[in-house]
Amino acid sequence: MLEVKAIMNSSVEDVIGFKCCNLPDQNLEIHVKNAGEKPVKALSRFVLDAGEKQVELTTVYPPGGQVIQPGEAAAFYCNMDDEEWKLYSSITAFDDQGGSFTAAL
Amino acid sequence: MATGIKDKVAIIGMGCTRFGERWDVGAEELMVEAFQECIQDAGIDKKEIQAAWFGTCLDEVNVGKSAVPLSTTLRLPFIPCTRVENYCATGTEAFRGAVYAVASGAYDICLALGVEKLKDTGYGGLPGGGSNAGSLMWQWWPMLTAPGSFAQLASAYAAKYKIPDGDLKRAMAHVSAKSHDNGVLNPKAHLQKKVTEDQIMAAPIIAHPLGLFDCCGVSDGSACAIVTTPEIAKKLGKKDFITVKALQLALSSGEEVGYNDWDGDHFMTTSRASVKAYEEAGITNPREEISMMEVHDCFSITELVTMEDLHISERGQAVKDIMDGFYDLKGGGVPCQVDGGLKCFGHPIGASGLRMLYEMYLQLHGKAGERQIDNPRLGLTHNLGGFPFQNVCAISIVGKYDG
Repeated sequence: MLEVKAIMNSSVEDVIGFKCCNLPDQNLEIHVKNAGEKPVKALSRFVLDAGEKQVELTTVYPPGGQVIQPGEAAAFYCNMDDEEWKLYSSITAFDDQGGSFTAAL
Repeated sequence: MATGIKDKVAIIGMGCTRFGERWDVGAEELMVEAFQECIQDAGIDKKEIQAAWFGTCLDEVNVGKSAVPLSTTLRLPFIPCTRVENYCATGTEAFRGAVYAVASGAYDICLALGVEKLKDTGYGGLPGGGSNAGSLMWQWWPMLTAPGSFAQLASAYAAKYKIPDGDLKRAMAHVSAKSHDNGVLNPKAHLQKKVTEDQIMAAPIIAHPLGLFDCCGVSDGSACAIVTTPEIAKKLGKKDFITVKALQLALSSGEEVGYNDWDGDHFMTTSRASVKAYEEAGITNPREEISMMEVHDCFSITELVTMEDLHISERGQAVKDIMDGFYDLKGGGVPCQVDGGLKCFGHPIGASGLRMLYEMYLQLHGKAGERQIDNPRLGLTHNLGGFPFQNVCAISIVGKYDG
């Protein structure tokens, strides 16, 4: 069971740009929390839904997914345009077992 | 019989640049920027400076060798200039040279300046040793990275005091969040945005248990100080000036890695240097007498462990003190990293020790703006260069002149 939360124009953008070479403009921060009782691998992949339009985010840092322990959260980062962001109403995260977990924005 | 440095040398001027990725300027401009603030603050003419000490660590990638970059950049009038380097204690080492020169009576007024211009290398952390470090380096420092080495410190500390992984992670997150909170209040800081503990806890792991926000980067910047005797400071019309109370330096002797006594859970150098510094400054209860600190938070665990090596927190109690807010700006204890520390003010290696002293200087003069502490008396700065098992530790204590 994953819980997903998005933070647009996150304050960590400057830190990511500074500390992680060649990784500027990571203004969308996505937190994925493992609300279950077993470790879960969350994929570095999200889907944003705007009704008629869906966008898949695959250029997410860190790539390759992250194993999240029960009760803990892991953050993913990517670039997002301010105007485009306003179009979306939900975000979906995925685990490596085929599960999908959606949250309203 | 040695009597120590207490109240023998006054700081009459200091300057510091904005730290950060200073693509707009070179090392020379950074030196000028810091020096102009410093000499204006001191209220003297450049010709009155009789000797200078110049701190820069990675000369290979910025200013080059010798102290000529300082003397030519500032057009110092054919005076003695000495370049010093001692890992991350380089800035304090420059300060130490200038202070001892004045205390010896050899000179009346001396300059200490530190600078580092690293970001042009395009690398987020420290530049690698490369082939010039020697082809056998990977054998005598196998698989060694700074985050990896300090992560081992964290593991050893947690194991010794039986601290659950989650509790240590949360305490380290508080350490980092505090620096970001303070960095918001500092217009010269490299990073000036608030970050929450949850954001820090969720960030990618660099070397477990250290995450992205537990590790500091490096910056471009410069800082400097002009020192003289208290008598000359008075003649210059200075009132309520700041004097040096203690200057101590301790280097690893090989005891950490060569014997079995060290558990890898703390810094033997800091623990010893701090005792000597308190003795030199006449401090008997540092937890009560030190008003504020700037310590070497290269990693969050370094700051956490250093609280105990400075004998401010008791052994095994730093996590509790941190979570109680004892080291927060308005926590009622001993505020630490008031200016944002290495993590947020930044870490231009050769300048960091002087940057820490600059914050103490501002605070003691009541000029620290929004982050001003109420009635500070004594400020402590701490540098740690190297690794937990092999390092250079410098400790300075400064305060208002009591004479």
